[in-house]
Amino acid sequence: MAKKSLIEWIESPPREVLYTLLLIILSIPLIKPLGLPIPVSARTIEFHHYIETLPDGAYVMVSLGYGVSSQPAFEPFVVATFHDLFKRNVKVVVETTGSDGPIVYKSAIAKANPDSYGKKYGEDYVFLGYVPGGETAMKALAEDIHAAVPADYYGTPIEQIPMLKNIHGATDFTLVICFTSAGDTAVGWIRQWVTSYNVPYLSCVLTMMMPTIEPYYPVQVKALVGADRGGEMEFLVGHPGPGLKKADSFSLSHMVLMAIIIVANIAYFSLKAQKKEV
Amino acid sequence: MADWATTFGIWVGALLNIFLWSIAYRDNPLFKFAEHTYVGASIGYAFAVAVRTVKVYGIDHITKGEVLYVIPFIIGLTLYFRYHRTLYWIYRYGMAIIVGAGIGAAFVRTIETSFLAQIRDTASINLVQPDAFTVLSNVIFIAAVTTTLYYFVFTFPVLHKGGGTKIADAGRWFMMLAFGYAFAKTVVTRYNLMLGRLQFLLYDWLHLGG
Amino acid sequence: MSIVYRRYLPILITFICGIIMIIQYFLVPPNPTEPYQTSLNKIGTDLTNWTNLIGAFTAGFGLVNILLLHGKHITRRTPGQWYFSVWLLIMMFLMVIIGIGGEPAIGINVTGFWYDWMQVYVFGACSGAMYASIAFYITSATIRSFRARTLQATALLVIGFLTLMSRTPALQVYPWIVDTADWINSFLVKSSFRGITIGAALGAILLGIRTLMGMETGYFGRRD
Repeated sequence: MAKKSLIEWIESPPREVLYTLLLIILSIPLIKPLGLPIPVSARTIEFHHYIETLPDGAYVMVSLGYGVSSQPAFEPFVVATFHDLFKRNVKVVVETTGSDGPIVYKSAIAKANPDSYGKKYGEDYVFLGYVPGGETAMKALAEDIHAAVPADYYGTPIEQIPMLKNIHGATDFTLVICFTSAGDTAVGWIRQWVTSYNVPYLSCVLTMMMPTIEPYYPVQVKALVGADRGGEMEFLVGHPGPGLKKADSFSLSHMVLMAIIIVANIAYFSLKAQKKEV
Repeated sequence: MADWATTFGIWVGALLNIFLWSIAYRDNPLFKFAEHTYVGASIGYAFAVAVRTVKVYGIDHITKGEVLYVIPFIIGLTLYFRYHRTLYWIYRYGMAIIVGAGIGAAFVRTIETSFLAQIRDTASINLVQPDAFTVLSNVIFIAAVTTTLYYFVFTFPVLHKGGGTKIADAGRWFMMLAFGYAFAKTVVTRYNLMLGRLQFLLYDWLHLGG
Repeated sequence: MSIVYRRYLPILITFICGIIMIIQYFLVPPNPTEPYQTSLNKIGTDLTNWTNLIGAFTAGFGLVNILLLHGKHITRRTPGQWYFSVWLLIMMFLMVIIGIGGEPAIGINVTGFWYDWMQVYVFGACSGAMYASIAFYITSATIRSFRARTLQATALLVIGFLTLMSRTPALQVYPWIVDTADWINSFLVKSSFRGITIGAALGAILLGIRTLMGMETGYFGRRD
């Protein structure tokens, strides 16, 4: 194979070089923060606003519709949201629509530490565990939680959980918040809880999924935000964490990527001009 | 026990992580080992959760006195007839219930959620606005929705001939711009995921930064 | 006669289950008061809960399929593969045993600590790493596809570039970048995806009707 010229090398860099550069660029700001600015977007403020304006005693359904594969993306936002909810006098019902949801719940709730807010399990928050069925599970929860879920994740019969004694279904909830990496799940909550029961719905999805949910915003989805905004949510609730630490890496990696794209395009046009001359 | 188990776990997690990322350079036995570890662990976990789910959502109902739950319990077991050479058709009964109920629950609400509500929202756009830029933006919005929909109408081939191709082309252009936006968002998502794993490797494993 | 219980009865069951859900949607309000509404609601709710229980059994398909596939590799001693298959099955059964002994609601509660350990350091680490590894490929794909070869490719490049800029925290301090990206999102992306959503919804509705009427039987599995 003929050796590549410098311009050809720049136009199409070898993948080993690219991948190593990517790892270095992403890692440096994590080890040594660069102190670059981190503004808060209007979408994150809107998401936070809906939680801020919850009335006392409101019931909030939090659905963790993502698995361990997306945990690195979602966890900062989820933990910040739990902080936001536990600060207030609201009741939080958590469930998962994916079978590995309990793993992400346990990790997030340990970091949010509801005990530090004086919250008691069963009285202020409860985890229903994995509710099987996907969209039919959402439907079942909306119609009758007691019939849909016989026991919580830890096996406690549902009728023995104090905060769920007078709760029937979707009509008793003030807000639904869904964190999901699956478009079907995000739209499923709209179909089963918003269309049928008009429950206000906030959605946090993987950033790449936002365009597919965008048509439903703001009429059916009151607030739509990407999981990469976790750092902003941490800032708003006053609990800086891993999300904020990612911001410098985002900045540096995106700027380097954009620089490589520009240089690669210049190299491409140079090569094209060279070939034309020949 | 917890301390050494946590340290051991961090090392196991970090090494498995690195083995899996090694595929980006080239295929190798370490990657295959990690890949098979992952598949085995995930299938095993899913089965354990399935046992828990059947126990809570089936057996507990029956032991509480709701004896009718024996019926879906038995139908659920018959799903495994799909592996039988001649009696595989028995599994269709369970699937029929899942598919019928699932479709009934979803598609009837899709009419309102993804069809009527979307059309209503588009039709309610007010083209009478104080500034010309907003008017132009709204016109572009409606044009994009209409031409994108037009692009996907294949029932009448005449719509994609002659002047109709211009409308379909416009739809394709709008979609392409939207996909360019979505592609860039995909980059952000993947970097976000990678940063999460790097934080584990750098902070928890190598104790750098944090 | 056999075609009746192999095809027609399952199709009839699909139809009945679907109709129950549809009737419940149209005739039962969020807070039913009339006796017929309460009865219809109970039938629909029970069917939903039954469906969820039946669906829970499908999670075992993965285990059976893996056993069949990797069992074949082991019995045939597939070169370069069979020992990995042995390891896979060991991991799988280990996780099943630890899982059943550790899942709180099952009640055995013997291997809780190691269940959590396996979840975080084996399953969680591998899952996160696999999903994150796509970042490598997306980087090289981005560099190769954001190339101004044609007018369309240039448009893709410009939009993608602006989007990347708008998701760079350090550049979000410049309002024109954020405002431009917001405009693209609100007027170009939302509109195009709305058109796709409406089209997909039409397709889904038609597919639903066809399935309930027995014209689509893909869920039957193998052909008779």
